[in-house]
Amino acid sequence: MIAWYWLTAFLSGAGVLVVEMSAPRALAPFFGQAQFVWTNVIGLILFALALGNVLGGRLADRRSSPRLLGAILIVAAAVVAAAAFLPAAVSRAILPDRLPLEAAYSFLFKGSFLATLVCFAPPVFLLGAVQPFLVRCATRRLEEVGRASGRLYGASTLGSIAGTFLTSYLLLAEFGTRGTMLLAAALLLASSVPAFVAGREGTSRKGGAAVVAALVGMGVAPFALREWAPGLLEAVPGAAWGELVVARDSRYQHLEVRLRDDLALPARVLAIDEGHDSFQSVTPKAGTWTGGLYYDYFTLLALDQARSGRLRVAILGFGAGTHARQLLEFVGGRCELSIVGVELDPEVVALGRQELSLPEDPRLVVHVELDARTFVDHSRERFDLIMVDCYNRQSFLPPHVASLEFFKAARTRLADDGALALNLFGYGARDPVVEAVTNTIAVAFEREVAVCAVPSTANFLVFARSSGELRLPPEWDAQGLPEEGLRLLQGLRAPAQCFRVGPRHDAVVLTDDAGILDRLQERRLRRRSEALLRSVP
Amino acid sequence: MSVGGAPPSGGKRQAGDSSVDSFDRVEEDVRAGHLDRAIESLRADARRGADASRYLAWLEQRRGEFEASRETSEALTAADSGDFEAQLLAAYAAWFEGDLSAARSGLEQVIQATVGGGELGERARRSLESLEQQKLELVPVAAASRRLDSQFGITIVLLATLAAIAVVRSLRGP
Repeated sequence: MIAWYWLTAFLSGAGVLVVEMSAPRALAPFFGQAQFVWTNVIGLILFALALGNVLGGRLADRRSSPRLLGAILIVAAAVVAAAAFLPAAVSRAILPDRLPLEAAYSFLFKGSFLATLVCFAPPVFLLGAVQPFLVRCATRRLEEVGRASGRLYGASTLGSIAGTFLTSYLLLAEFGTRGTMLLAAALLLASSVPAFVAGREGTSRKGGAAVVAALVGMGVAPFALREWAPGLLEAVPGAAWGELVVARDSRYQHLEVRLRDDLALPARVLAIDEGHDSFQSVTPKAGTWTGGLYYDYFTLLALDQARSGRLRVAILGFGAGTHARQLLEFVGGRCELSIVGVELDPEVVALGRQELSLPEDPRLVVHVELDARTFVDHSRERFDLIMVDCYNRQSFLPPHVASLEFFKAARTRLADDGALALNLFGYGARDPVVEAVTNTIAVAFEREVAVCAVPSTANFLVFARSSGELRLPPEWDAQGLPEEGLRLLQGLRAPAQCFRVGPRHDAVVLTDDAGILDRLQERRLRRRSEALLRSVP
Repeated sequence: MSVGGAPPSGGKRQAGDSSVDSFDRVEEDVRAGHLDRAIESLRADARRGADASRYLAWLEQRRGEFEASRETSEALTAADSGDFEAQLLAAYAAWFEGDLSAARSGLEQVIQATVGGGELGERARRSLESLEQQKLELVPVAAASRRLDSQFGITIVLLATLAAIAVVRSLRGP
């Protein structure tokens, strides 16, 4: 008998964790995956579990029926299946249309809380009732309680471990977020079978067959879904601006290619997770310049770095290849060019090739499934230019690619007179994130850093040289630049558009140990959002 | 938004300004990218005139010191209410800080005071158009934000009550 309950505990424990691990991914196309979204999800799921424990215990004392336990699991399975379809509708009800990222903080924080409560707390509340029921049903005498509850909690925890690993490493990548939630529902449905079987006397052979059939059914379910209802497994379009071209869920994040007509040049863009008005890569409908976005200014710096007739570039945070396309077109014809791209998410590069005109080119090598930090720490190559454009969660710079240790390692990868260039997002040059990162580079390089405000945007091009003179845009090589390039360079040459910042050891220096960057990034987004919304009636 | 790359208009060699030599040094620093040094020099110059102060307010804006720029500009308009260029700089500083209401009222004042146009009035008018567009887009966002705030508040109260009931019942025992 205890074996059936053990199986129920194992499967329902797995179901809880599959739901918990899928929830942030289901919310990601609308609210992103910031730390506070994960905190809201985990916190509320634990809260719902606790409430379920309390009420389940009371109910079990009144009526300790395995059939009732089975019924609870069936209802939980139905609610989880419904939760697979709810997040999009609930999130769209919470978020206004065309929400700009700079005003989004409160929506992302509070909205993810409410969406979790509506979509994911109810099934987990029901699942919270399962454990006390199992203990009550599995014990006949008081002196068995300790051993039985220990076994059942152990089984549930083992199930949770299996659910965690399976979801992260297999299910989300293979079946997408919605498919994974539907699998969790199948899992819970299967877990109800041993509960029903345990409640019947003398039917162990038939019961065993029913359990085996349920487990086989659960194993077959994903493949059946893929075969007969592939639409159910497709990624759900999120909150990014523009007309949807394609949406996908990768192992790491939600990806969308959208067509934007509201930019300086109509273009296809790659939006990641919640996106809103921001994007990570861009391919204009016509031409390769992006109409004055920060990519263009990186290319102007690369043209200046190519003076020696040879340019070896590393692009960390390769994305869908906007930088690479520009370099191949505008720099490739002027010098001996080689590009190494580093991108964690292979699906991003695949979308670049399929939807954003990223060419196959012998001068371009892209490493995927590789973190920028790992590359910098272990690469033996030297580069004339290292471009760092590593963002996750839209405007969030990952701390391990903005630390003193990272910039020191990057410096060792630079050739003589090589340059490290970083795209920084910030509300003005005194933005605490811009200041902290800029100073960290200056301290790592032990020399001045140039900060250029990209005209009419909230981006900064920050660069430092390994040796030699720090040349500002007025001194950059403009010879042979196409007309658009010259126009862009003029913008960067405007008075006070670029300036120098020296190292300051008494100011903030970001290190691997101190988790200050996330706090600074979150605080500035919150303050900006509050200031904007406060000033609107 | 962008306030444009050009520094404020006005001759730097007018009476009352700091000496021509020190101003030249400031401009040289700006050209060489030593913005902090240029700002420090101007701040340290107790005898600087209105043009130098406007230039300082503009440099502070470029350096991202919006609050300081607003203070410098407001000091100028307090001394001379007809200094519309300083008013415009104060409005831009407010805009950069995300204070759309203050920016709007500043821009409107400049437009009203420069009736008949002029380059300054035209710049203010264009900026106001762009600000109004941003504000228009934010109106439904702000309304949704207020709705969300109340929903969130009610939810927190309900959850706290539920948690309290669960704790009390758990502590009371069987």
